[in-house]
Amino acid sequence: MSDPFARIAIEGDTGRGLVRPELAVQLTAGHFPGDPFLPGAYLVELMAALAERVAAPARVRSIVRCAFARRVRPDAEIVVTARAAGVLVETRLEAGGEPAAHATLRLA
Amino acid sequence: MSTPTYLRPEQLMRHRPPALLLGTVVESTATGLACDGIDDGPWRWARLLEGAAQAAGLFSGLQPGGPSAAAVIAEYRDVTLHAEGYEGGVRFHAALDRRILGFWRCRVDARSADGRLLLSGLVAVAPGARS
Repeated sequence: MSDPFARIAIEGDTGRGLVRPELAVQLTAGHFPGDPFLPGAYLVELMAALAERVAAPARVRSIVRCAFARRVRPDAEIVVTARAAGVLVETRLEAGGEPAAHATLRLA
Repeated sequence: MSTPTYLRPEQLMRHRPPALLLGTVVESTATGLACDGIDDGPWRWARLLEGAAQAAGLFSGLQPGGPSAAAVIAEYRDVTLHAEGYEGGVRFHAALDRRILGFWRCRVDARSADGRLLLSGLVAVAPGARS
């Protein structure tokens, strides 16, 4: 995946990224016709992308847990936040200002 | 083992290309399902995870009382990325780990054509009533 963020801010061990709207549309292709929303795996990928920016040069090695609260439509503004704590990064994803997913990722 | 040629993911699932990642179902039993990936990649880890989730959804949906095609993924847990990506044929496996209320939690993995483990973990499939 190319850089998924239209804007990104990293401060110390925290970060915030705004997902490019055109990428969100691209990721919903075929998922699903007439009822588009982003696949959960690609939401994790967006959260992992920010986690790797916050904890660079570490890479995501495992998804400890990722839970989804609601569907993410491609026309919603998607914002990812992340906070590193040792080898773990806590990430959250909001869509249209509402919590949509949160994940704990392990990096190394 | 059964080789259910009548099980065609494109007829059973809501996914359409390029989102549809399952090709041929090579084994389907009451305890598990194996399905080849739809192409030779490239498979970045997130695409492997999505394919594994689709295998979990298809397996759950085939079980008596299982969720409909409108099912959604509720949770990933203990997913290990054994590879950052892969190019070539892959095979997805899904097997029931446990049922929790209306959720079907499946153990999943993705392997290369020569059997190398690429990704493994747990996927919880929800009935799909959430908005």
